Amino acid sequence: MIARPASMSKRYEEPIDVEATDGSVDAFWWRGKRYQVRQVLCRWREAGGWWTSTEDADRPWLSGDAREIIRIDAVPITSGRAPGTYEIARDLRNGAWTLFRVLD
Amino acid sequence: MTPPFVHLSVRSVYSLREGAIRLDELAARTRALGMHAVALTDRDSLAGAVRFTQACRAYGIRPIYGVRLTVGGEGSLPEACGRDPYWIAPSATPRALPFGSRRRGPSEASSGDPSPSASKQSNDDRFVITLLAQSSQGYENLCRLISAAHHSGERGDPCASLSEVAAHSDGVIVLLGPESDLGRLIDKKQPEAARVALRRWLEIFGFRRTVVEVRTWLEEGDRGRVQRALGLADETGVRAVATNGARALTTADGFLCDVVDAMRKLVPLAEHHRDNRNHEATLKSPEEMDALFGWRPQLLVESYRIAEECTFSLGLGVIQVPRYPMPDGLPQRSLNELLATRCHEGLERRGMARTQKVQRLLDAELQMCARLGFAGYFLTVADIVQRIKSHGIRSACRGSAAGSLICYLMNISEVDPVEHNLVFERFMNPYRTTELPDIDLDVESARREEVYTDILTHFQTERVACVAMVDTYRARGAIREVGKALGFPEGEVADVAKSFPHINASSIREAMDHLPELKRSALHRRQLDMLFGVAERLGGFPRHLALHPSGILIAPDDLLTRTPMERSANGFRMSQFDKDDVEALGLLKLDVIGIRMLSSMTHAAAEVKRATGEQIDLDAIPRDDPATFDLMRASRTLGCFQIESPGQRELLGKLQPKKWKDLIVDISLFRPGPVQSDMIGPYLSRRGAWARALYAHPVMKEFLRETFGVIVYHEQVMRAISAVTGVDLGKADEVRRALEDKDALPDIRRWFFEMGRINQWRDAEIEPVWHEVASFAAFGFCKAHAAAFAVPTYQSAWLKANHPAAFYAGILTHEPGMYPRRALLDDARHEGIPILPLDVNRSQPQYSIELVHGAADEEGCAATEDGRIAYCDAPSSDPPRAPSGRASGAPLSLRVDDPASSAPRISDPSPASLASAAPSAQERFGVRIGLMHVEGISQAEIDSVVQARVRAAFTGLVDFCRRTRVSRPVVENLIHAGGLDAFGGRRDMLLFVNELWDKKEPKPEVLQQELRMREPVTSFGLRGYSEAEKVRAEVEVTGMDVSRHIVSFYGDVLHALGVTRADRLRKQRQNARVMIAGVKVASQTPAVRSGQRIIFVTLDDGTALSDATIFESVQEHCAWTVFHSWLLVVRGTLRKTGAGRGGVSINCERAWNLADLAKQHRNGTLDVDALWTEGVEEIEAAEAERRRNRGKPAPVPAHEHAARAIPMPARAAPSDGAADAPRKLWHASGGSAGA
Repeated sequence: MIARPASMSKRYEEPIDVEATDGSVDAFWWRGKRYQVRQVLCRWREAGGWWTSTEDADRPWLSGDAREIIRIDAVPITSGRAPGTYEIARDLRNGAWTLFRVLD
Repeated sequence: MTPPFVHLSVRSVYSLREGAIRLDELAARTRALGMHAVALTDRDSLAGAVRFTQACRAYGIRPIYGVRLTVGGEGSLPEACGRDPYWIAPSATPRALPFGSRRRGPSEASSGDPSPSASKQSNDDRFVITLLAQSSQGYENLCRLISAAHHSGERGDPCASLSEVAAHSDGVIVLLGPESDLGRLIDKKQPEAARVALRRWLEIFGFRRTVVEVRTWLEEGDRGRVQRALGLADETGVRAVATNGARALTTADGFLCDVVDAMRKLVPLAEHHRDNRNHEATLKSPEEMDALFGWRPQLLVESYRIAEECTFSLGLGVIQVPRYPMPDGLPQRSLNELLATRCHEGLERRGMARTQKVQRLLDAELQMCARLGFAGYFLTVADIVQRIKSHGIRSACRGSAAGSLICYLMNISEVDPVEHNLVFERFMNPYRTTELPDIDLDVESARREEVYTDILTHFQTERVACVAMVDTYRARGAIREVGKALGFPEGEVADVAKSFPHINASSIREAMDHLPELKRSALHRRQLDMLFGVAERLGGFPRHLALHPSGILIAPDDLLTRTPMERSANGFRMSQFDKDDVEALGLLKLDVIGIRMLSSMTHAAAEVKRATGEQIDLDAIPRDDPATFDLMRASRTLGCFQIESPGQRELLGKLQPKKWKDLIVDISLFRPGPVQSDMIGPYLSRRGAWARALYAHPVMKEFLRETFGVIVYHEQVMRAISAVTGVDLGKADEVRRALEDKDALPDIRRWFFEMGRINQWRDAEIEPVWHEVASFAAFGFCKAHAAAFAVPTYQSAWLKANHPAAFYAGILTHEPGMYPRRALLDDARHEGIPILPLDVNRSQPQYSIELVHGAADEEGCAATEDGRIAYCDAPSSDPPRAPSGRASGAPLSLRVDDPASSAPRISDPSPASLASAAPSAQERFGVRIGLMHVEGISQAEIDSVVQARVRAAFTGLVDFCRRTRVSRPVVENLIHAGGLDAFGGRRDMLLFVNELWDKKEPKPEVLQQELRMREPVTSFGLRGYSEAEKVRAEVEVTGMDVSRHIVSFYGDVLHALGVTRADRLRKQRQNARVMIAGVKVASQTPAVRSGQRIIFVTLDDGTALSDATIFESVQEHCAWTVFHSWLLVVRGTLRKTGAGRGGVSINCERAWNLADLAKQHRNGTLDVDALWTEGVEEIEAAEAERRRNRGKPAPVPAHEHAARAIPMPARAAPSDGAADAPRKLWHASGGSAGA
């Protein structure tokens, strides 16, 4: 069973830039702000949704939209904002990073 | 350094609707990734074990055998008794049925639950463990456990109990993964309960064979679960291993898992329905596994260690001959001696003289049998045949087994191999040690299940079982299920699916381009792409394990040591292996095939006995009956076994058989090879002594004399090879088989000459023999086969010649052949057999014979010289309506039958009531139409009619309704088709029923009250049915035009059109443009390799059958009409087929519904010229274009209806939108798209 966090969450899907060393994420940039990663809470992979795909890709069911999602505690490096829990996703096909969700 | 890794948890496509890995791909990828072994752990199944073994061998990796077993929670299933999972002590639940009998007995029928105490388990009580076989004991235990799981649970929902697992734990390793009870408790964070569960497993399997299985599919929470599981393992000192629970080969195949999950759950794909959130359950490489578990490499190494402990290997290719229990009272001797004794007894019983030749042959066979160790097999099969015969069930041996003297003496076959000069090496060849002699048994189709049940219950549970047949996804089924999974609208998907012929799912893309109707689908191009792209990938995936209809396994000992068992839909115990697997395992199989002709013949003989008292013994009839051979020579063999097709009838006409052995030649020659290579011509001319029989060498004369020097039989080829080269007949048969490969000819030739020279032959002598052998070896036929076939063939022809009415009664009841019922009836009419219509006072449930007085009617059918039809019968216009005698308010009345004046009272004609057995010149037997084919009638209704009749004949409609339990629609059908004609006019009676019978299914008491209130009843005076209406009614209700051929009503419009009679087609010249017409008998759209769709259709106009071919270029004009009409007119060009042997086919250009044209003709709006010229210009232009481009016209595919037409189904669902076809009375076969 996958336990979803019971608290409120807001879903984005916005591209971000990521600073990583040796495969582990140090920080990410979202909407112009830098967020420092304090702790990685967990990571998992998701793939699916190909059946509703409206992409023009040839045979979307083969490529799917496999993603790796990392849930982290991060702090925005500006003016003492409170730390939060963020889920960032890396598209396994093309390596692109997005901000997946923000949890409170 | 990457630790070595072996996948110990793998679900292949044999995990039905769960796994998506094909076995050959599994082996290939394992090898490619550098792993040396892999396990197969399908859900509750080892069905893939044999193919898995073969695939692994091909790729040089080691197979490990396992299973994912579904286990029921403790205490919710009864304890198994002892170690045998089948037999449960009588004091336990009613599940204790012998496995071989029907699943639901009368005591269970009401509850619908196999066992009152087996509660409907909620899925929460169940869990899954993975078991791996270390040794042969372990493998056996897996087989037993799987069988127990299938035996205990509902069919399709297997579940084993914990006690059963405990009882079968030796030699087995258990992996406790996330789906086990342990895994669940760990997931729920219940450490105490988890410890208890783990301890319980340790008690069963011990420390060395209990393993905690960890796995991560990179899902949320995995890390925690893995840590907790490892914590528990470390704390208790239990082994731990990592697996990946592989379900798909790579992430690119992940979508297949999504789809099969949705299909299994019968829901559309949606996030909230999914089992897996991602596509990580794949056969990962050691490097990928290292990335997951590299932080604790012992988990990976452990997989390698466990693999080393599993050393069991499934032995293939070694024949396992069944043992045979020595009968009581006989001294302990070897099976070979017992067989020899029984054979010698057989010599006496068969009245065969013990000549030197016979003794020599018998000794040779017995020695070979002893050498190969087959005595137990023959003894067992002989027992089975004996049991079948003792139940009075007709049976016949088929195939090369007829060549064995042992088979003849043991009463397995009825063909004397000595008399027919047969060769047993064709059947039992010492050089083919890996191939088993196949004995096939034909039995009466109607009693086939009885035979199965008898065999399965008589023989001990362990030794005999049925065999599975893997049903894989075909295009239509795959498209439908995938469409549902994708959430597409069902109607649209159904339409699309129907367009596809019956092809394999993997051919979907190929076929797509040839189906223009897909353009009209409401689904978007993108949707269609996805639908087809996904469905195509399902090609070859097993859908379910069905029961093979004829195979029975006979094992030397306990089958459960080798194969797991399931329960088939009708309760027979069935191995999970299919017939190829079983053969690879070396297990012997007996094929028991249901043949409808045997049932027909039994029915015919029974009718003769019932009507005349004469007891016919078909096995003892003389084999030289002149009437029978007259029948065959005149090609009047429609309805007979094997020799009824148009091609066969033509061949009979040429061969003119006079003797039994001629029949064998006929059966041997009727195949595409001999026909095309023109063997028949030389044979005929030599037989007719117009050409001298030439022998390539005098020594050949001995065995070629019977066929006038022409090589016809395999046995002759074998003898020729043996004569020249000196090798024994077994080796000669090997050579014969090798000759079928054209590429091998040069090598064989070299060998042939070398051996011949050593054998003192000169090259000049060898050459002509080699020439004969090389040219004809591939076309020969096994004489034993032909001789075996000749027996029922002759018997059916004998019946037709000597007891025709009974013969027709038999074939109309069982429909064994390629022709639909109405064609059989038509043939009976042509043969002068009176056809007696439906009559509620006389019709039996099945077709029967009745004595008839007076001459039968003849149908007149004139033809003009060029063959155009001019039927003499009345035109299709109806007679004028009689004035209605019905005044309002007039009382209803029906003619009440005066018993003295009406038709003779019915009853079963006892032998005494029919004084003479043979009818006098004024009397003959006719065929009475049976009740069985009345539309909508049930067995219960038939029984009620028969039972009521026993007391007294029916005296009127009211009487009939009152005393039987027949429902209103069936009463109406009976009236409509004339079954109650003795009681009044059909329209009157129908109206009466309509007035009287308000409810569709009235209670008898209510109806009787109403009936009493209404009596007496009077007639409305409505007019009777015209002939045309009568015939139409007959067709609607019984599927046959009983009184007259339906096309005979259309004589005038056919004449006006200039339609050519089917029996005159051959006289037309090549390429002539003609029109043919008739009732559609069959249509076929066989799957053609190019994906192109060709439609074949066969029409019957009462004079003969005619064939038409519809190519793609004209399908847009014709296909719909052809598929949806019953009476057709087809215009096209005539092509002669079959290398000028008289076959004819029409290349269709246009097709019309005959009934429509007839209507136009009646209205005076029929434009005959327009019909003849429509489209001709374009067609001829296109043909000219094609010829310019290619140089020659496209080849005409030989019309295959003769060879491949399949018997019509007795009843098919009514087709939609068919304007004039009362029911779907034709057979659409072999991949008809849209039909």
